Amino acid sequence: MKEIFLDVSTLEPCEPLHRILTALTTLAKGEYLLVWHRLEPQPLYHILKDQGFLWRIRQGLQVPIEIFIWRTDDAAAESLVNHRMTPSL
Amino acid sequence: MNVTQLSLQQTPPLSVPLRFFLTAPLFGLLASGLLLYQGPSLFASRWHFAILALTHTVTLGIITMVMIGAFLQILPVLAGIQIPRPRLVSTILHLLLSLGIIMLIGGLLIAYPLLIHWALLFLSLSFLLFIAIVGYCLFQVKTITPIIIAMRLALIALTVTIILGVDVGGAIISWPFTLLPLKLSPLKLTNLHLAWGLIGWIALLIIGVAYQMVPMFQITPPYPTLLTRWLAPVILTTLLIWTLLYINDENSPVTLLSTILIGIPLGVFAITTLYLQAKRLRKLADVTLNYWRVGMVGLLITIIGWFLIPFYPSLANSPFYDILLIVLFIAGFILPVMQGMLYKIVPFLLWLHLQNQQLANLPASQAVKIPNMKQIISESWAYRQFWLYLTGLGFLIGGILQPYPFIQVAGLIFICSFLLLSYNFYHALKLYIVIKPQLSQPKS
Repeated sequence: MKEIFLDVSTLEPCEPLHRILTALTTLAKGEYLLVWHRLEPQPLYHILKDQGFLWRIRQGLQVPIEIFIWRTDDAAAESLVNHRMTPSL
Repeated sequence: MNVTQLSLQQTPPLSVPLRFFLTAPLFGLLASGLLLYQGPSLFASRWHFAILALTHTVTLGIITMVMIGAFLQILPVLAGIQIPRPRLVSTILHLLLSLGIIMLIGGLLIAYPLLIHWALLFLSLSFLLFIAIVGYCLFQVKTITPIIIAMRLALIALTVTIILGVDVGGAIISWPFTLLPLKLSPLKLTNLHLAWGLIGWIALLIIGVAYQMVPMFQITPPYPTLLTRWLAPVILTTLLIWTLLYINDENSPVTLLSTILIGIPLGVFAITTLYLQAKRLRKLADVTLNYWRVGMVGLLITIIGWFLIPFYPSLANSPFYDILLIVLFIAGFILPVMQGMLYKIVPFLLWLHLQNQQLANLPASQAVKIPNMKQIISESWAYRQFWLYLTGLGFLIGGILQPYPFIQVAGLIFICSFLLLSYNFYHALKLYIVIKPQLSQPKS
């Protein structure tokens, strides 16, 4: 399994941040985390930067925001995210 | 307004807002004690010193205490503006305000003018400091959002309320001067003080905070943009129009009708909030939601009662009716909303500060399990406190119509309710104090 999926779009603070940080601790090499969120979580970005993660966001179809998160040094996961985010022709 | 605009890195030290939030339930206990001790005679007249003492225990000791704490917390987080020397400023403000309130209550209860004199000085100083610092910060803000507009207008209303309040207090202890350039009767001064305090200062800030808190914590859709842009300015404008008409002739039909103008936007706020809550994404029971629903229904009932006055002018002269409306507005709208807010803000701040310390000090491999918000304050105890408060509110309203023995029963229930509120918050603080040292240093 390369994608770990987490839907926090209907959770109240502080649950989304709490669950995302917990999920990140289980992220293995080559894996990325996909988060469904209803808002852009600015506080999370500072934490991701400090903790050595990269992220990309896009507007979702079912929820307003989709966030892809992977480890900075994980090229395989980054490539998967880039592939996942490329719109199919 | 949503969480994307929150800058939680800017959050002030925990002690800055928390000292205000944790003092408020203690004044709640004092107010409940006054209700029990004074008993049925309390609501005999609006001008009874004991009712003035009780009113200010609630409006200053509970409500304003919480609102000042909220201002100091919200301003850096929402506007990115740091209050200078936040610990020092909050310590001085808290001390001046607490001492001023205690002296005012004592002075009114024992009818001792010297104490009221000192109370007015302490309170004026604390508000002057608060208005100067927060006002300066608020007018530095570059991005003007609806909550910033509501906060600015609330601060203007607080300034008016303080000027009117000092003049009312000064009249009681025969100060030789007044702050207002025009001579108004004590009744007019008091009613203006009450309206600007309850509607301008308190309701406007609640509305501004609701734009942020209701969608964020109750998982509702956002308030409509048209409403967030115009509601607070419309309320302040209508309050101003009513004030001018009221000063000119308090009994004219135009003045009475203008009260409806203030009630309409407040009613729109209450109905919109109830509608948004009905549309929330997760239909889970929640004590904050319950408190806010009680508050919105309380506000609507107050407005309906208010609207009846122009059609039945005799109600305006009834000794119990204005007390009933004030009690409904304060105990049925403001206090439920504030307690509901505190049940989210207090655990959220404790969690946030623990989380920040963990991220700053510990590597991920040594992470300590931080309790979530529902673990910081037990939901079942919060519910018990809510039901106690609601029961007390029922007896209080009944007590206005039939003072004996309802008022004292209400006092007794409110004592239990505020004791439990204090327990819930101080127990949460204890949990924070226990966990914090575990996050201070990584294990070698």
